[in-house]
Amino acid sequence: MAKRSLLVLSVALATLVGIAAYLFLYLANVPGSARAAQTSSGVNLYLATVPAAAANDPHPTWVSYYVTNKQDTNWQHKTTFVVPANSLVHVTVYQYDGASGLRNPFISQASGTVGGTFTLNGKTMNAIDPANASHVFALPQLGISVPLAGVASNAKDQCPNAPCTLSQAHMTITFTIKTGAAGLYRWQCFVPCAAGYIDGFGGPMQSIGYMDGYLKVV
Amino acid sequence: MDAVSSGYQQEPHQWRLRSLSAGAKMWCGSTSGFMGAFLFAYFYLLALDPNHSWKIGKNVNPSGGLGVAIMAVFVLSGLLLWLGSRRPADEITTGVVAIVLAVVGIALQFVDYGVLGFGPYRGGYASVFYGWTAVFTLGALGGIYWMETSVAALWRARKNGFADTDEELLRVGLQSCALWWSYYVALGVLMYVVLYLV
Amino acid sequence: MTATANRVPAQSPARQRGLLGFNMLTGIILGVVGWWVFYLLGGLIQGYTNHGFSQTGQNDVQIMLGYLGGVIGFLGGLGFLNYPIQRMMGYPPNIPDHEVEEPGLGKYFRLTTDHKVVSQQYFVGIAFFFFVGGLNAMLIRTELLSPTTHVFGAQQYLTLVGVHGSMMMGMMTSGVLGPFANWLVPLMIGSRRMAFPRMESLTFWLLMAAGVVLITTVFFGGFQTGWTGYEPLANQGTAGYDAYLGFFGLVSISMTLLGLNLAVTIATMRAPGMTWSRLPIFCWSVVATAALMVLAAPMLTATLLMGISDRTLYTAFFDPGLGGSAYLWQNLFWVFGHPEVYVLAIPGFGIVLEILPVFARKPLWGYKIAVSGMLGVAIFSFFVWQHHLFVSGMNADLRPFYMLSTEIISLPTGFTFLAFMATLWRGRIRLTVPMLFCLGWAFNFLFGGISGVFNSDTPSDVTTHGSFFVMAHFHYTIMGGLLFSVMAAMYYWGPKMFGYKLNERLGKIHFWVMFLAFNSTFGPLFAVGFLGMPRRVVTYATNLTGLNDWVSVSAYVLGLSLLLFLFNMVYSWMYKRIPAEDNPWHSRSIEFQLPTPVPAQDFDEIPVFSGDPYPYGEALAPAGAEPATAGAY
Ligand code: HEM
Ligand SMILES: [Cu+2]
Ligand SMILES: [Cu+2]
Repeated sequence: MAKRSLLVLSVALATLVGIAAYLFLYLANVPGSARAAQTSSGVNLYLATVPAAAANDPHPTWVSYYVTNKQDTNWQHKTTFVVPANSLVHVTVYQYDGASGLRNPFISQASGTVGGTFTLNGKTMNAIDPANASHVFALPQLGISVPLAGVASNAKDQCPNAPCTLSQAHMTITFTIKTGAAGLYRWQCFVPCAAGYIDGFGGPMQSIGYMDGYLKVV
Repeated sequence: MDAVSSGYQQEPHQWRLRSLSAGAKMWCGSTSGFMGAFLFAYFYLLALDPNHSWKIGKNVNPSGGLGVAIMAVFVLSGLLLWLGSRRPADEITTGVVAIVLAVVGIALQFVDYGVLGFGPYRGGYASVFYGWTAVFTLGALGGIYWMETSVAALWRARKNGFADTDEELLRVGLQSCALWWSYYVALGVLMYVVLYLV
Repeated sequence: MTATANRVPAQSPARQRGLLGFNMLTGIILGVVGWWVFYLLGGLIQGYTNHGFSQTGQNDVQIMLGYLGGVIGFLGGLGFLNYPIQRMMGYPPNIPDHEVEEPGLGKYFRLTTDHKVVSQQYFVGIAFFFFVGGLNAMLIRTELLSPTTHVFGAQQYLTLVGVHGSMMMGMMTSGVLGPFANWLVPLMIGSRRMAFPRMESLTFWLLMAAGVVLITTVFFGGFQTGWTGYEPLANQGTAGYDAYLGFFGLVSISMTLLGLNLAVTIATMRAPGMTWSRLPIFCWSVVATAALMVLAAPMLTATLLMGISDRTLYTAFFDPGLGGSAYLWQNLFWVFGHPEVYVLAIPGFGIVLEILPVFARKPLWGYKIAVSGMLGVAIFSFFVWQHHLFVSGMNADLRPFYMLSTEIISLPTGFTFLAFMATLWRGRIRLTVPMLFCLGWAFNFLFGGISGVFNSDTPSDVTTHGSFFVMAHFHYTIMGGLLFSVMAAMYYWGPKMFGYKLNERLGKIHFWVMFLAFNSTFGPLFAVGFLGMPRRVVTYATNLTGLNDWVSVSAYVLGLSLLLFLFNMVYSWMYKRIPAEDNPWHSRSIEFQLPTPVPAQDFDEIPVFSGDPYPYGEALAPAGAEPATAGAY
């Protein structure tokens, strides 16, 4: 009897340990979130896009978004951005990746931003040459889409992988969006930028934490 | 259900024999399903021709001569095993020759891969070509294993004058193997015709 | 009949028996070693993959080789590799095809050729993976408590759905044939063993290896395709998808061999007097199922090999840019897949029709109709697969054909129901636990079948396809159908198989909780589907929150009811241990005329059969041919 109870108990215990490990090591292991900095005229969100994640990342060869700061010195690998409801969000993207081009030129236009425009290296525009597209920051549920132009292929001092610094070749894109009601909104990139995967759509393009994430409006 | 004892301690000898040949026949069925998938893939991709990429670039054609040669070697192997398995006096010799022929067939297939001049990524045809011939070759390796064990068992039993062995069982084993192998070769003929000659 | 045990004392060849011999532990150790050896070797072959290794950092060649090495090591550790080596040198098989009685638990952890031990291994092994799959289902429902993501991320959610679906479909295809047919067929036809006992064992261990392979997907990021593995998502998928390919590959091989073995056994090893027209209906269902497995499962093997070669050898079967087609996968998968869904249905028919006469105390009505119904379903199931692709942009002229062929399948299915109802008609019904589950099966499967007609009608499928309606449909057929019949079988044959009674009162509670919770879980999902909630999406419209929460709570209760069953087994079989009678149900079937537990030899002598397989309510057979326990009840 005692022996049997021991057996049952140890099997049950082993199962529980397995379940706990499954839950915490895999299932709940979701990329973290970062809160945008509050200013008098809304919040500021600083992002960076790189041709490859940091060397110690689980996927060091994947393209990725990062959260950073104005000076581009504090890189965090997070793709859930927490912003307040019903307010302006000023987004700045430091874009370090080269262009991969678009299959659907429509995506090279901006939409849904305040004024329908964005600035590229200080110049206000509403579209880029589709061949120059490197990534897109798009929030389909809110109708927002902004193309991010790529660094020229012959540019000097290109950043190979995260973290990068502003002294390296990059594009600076800024735009402002207005948030509505609280909720969880999916954002993603639409440029087939996942090099090496079929049609450029595997790996980072289908993994939250790289070319996908959430805008958490609170 | 009513059941009484038969008085037989041992199961009927027939069972073993019949299971072997029934098993071989059903295995032919499984093999057909397996190969059928590749046949389906061939005609599906041929008909659909996605991206007009059935054959990408020139010279995505294997050499018909080598195809016929491989096919001939396999057919000979199948025929020999089939005929030999029905003639106890020749079963070992024909079995060994059939095995050698199968090995030659596989070797020729590899020679073909070497001189082909196109890779599997060169369109739908190239994919089916590589996939199908590769699994056929793998299956042929399995066939060689089956032939080898059947022949080896007969050979060892014969050396001992069939003491302690069931001679009939070993023979039926070889015949079942021959049945499947010739069927497999026939499927192979279909494959070589579709891939090399059509 | 006389069937006293022939208890030969255990004389164990030491080679097979020690802790360090050929057993599961050795298998696991060698499996891990095999994984690493092949994985590291695979690491040397870089760059020649479809995915451009340097850019993706994903070496599918390495991972697939790792799985191969792991499986080879595992099987080698169990002793499966000794056999081919001996055979190639011309020696007779060194693994006996008949086991002798052996005390102790060791035999359950080894390659064994006792069909009853293999079936018990199957039972426990499948139960384990069923538990894993069920746990994932609970987590899915937890996530769906709220319309946005709140517990797991979107990817983790998809992996949960994929692992749940694949595990259940892969394991449950063998869910009846593994544990029950392996145990019953050699008894029912009097053959005392399977035609290929070593192969029988191989199918089990392959299935176990498959289950482990699937679980390892979490180490590679999971996969997002669900159990159908659709392209192009699949080929674009990260390394976790390799586990899917490996899992179903092993399952398909195991399935083919399991079906082949059973079909051959029934075809060639029926004892004297066991004519085809006396074959118990359960064996007929095994024949129909096995035919599907033998013919359809290899097609899955081939399809998966194409998937593997796309990811490792640079072929382009499913890559449209290079002349392949994603629809090729969709078609090949369902050419196999629809027969597969009947692999999950027919054994249930067999179990229910086998059990029903016992508790209605009447002969099975329409034996030949039932047989032709099952064979008919099996044959038709090869001609309907495109009903899964109605909205794929298929040739419009094909739609009516597949619509009709699918609806025609309802006819042979109806035969089973006819036999079911007519057998109950004016029977002396005893509402035992197995009987309750049979009735539950009929109720649930009916809804499954009727909703199937909604799906097969092209105009209505345009709205139901890809929604929770389809989800509800196949859970009614598989969980409400197959799983209920498996439960009936568990309560009916379980005590005979394992030697101890199951608690009847707990059984009844289990049935009612499971029946109500099942319908309360999946019934509303029909509505949820009609209201437009798609499958395999982690978020949903907020107005569906109420229904979804209801479903989730019901699902927890459903999960609890299965834990209740687990508790019943542990409690009854490990603590109470009341020996089961030889024939508790007054069944006239042969397995209940044998002592409990059934001896290793089954019968001392090959039996001779005569008469109707279901002679309930008939006059007693001539003296001497009739066991004393089974009176004309
Ligand atoms: C009268 C009998 C049946 C009919 C007419 C029928 C019809 C259909 C149709 C048309 C679909 C495709 C729906 C869609 O995707 O839009 C479907 C899906 C399905 N059916 Fe049935 N079915 C029947 C019985 C069964 C049985 C007996 C099973 C299994 C035991 C089953 C399992 C499934 C599964 C698993 C799917 C969904 C697969 C997936 O998409 O993941 N069905 N059925
Ligand atoms: Cu991108
Ligand atoms: Cu179907």
